[in-house]
Amino acid sequence: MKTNEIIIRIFDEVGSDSAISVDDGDNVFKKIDGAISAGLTVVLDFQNINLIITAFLNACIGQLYSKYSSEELRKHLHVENVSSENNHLFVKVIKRAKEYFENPEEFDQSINDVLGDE
Amino acid sequence: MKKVFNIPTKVCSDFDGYSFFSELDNYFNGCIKEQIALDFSKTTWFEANLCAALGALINKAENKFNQIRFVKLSSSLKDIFSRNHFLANFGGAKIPDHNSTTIKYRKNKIIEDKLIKEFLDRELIDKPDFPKLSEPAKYEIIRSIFEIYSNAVIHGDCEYVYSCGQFYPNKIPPRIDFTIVDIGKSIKKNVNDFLNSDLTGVDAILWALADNNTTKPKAKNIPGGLGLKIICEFARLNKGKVQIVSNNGYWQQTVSGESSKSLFHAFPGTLVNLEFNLDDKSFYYLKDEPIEEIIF
Repeated sequence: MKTNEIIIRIFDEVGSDSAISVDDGDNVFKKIDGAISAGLTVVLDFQNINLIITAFLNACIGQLYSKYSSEELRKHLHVENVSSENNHLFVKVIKRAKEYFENPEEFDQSINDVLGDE
Repeated sequence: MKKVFNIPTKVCSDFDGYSFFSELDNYFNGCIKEQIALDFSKTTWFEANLCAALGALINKAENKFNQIRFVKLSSSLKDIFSRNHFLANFGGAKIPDHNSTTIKYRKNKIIEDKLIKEFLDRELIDKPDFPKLSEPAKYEIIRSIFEIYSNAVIHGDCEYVYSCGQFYPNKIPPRIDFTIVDIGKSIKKNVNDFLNSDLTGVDAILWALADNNTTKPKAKNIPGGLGLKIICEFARLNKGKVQIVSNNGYWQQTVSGESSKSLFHAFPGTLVNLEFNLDDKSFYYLKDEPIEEIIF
């Protein structure tokens, strides 16, 4: 491990193979935030995690986009050992978080996509 | 003064059944510090998964210091409501479920994520009659059900989530119904507050169902969305059903397609009913999706 790097093991943080709690996600977010604020690089290790829900990822990772740019996160945050089944969740949550925080007005327009001109 | 509310002859997981619950809530809304008897004397069929809705509405009424009693329950209803532990929450007995046809009535505090997971594993997904799922598919289904629980917490802003289920082995096709209820902010209220609009209950549900739409408050800085897509897709392949009731909106997806209607009275929160078809020998696995690189 590099001296300016910390590893956050999700299995240890959530106490099981299931990352399903928003509170746990929020706690991990605070740890990541604290570490990045201190100039460290964070490795999020998902080894032995079988079940992840988006509510956890939204709290843990999505929330970071309220404070950091993609560039900063690419530099200071890495994920490891994400199973192939869970990979798509990360991609979706990150994509959505970027859209959410970068183009909030688009969300206000989204009703038109669903209800047309009714 | 003692009041009596008559429960209908049949209470099923359908539009009429959900209309009954919204009518019951409307009745309870006019009661403070009353003694209310729920009279089951004419009730010959009450789908036990709907104990989730009944328990939620009774608790809501009890919060206004009303005392609710069950009267003239048939022996068969008393038996099923005892086996699924519903009556145990209201001063009654709980008895063993030797037939294993119940999925226990649960009133979960919102922080009990891990208990809910264990409960879903034990009571639903790992039951021998449940459609066969690969491990990843099993996790996807559990994940989808969790999304419903977390929607209740995040969007409903409520303290408890109620759930209950029932196996119907003699129905054609045999099925399991699993119902999740919260007495929080309805989808209609959330969507209209968020959009500053005046959508009907049905239109608000349709908006919330669309991929990527969310009413999660921006102030919380946690993005949302990504809701019920997988469970709806599974229900479609399994020839099952997904039903959502929220405020006066009712929406369902069945083997015949999607349909929606408005209830006469509002349901005070959100109910999601998932119906799984057990006459399904398919083995479900997740389609291999290309692995995309995770780029922040």
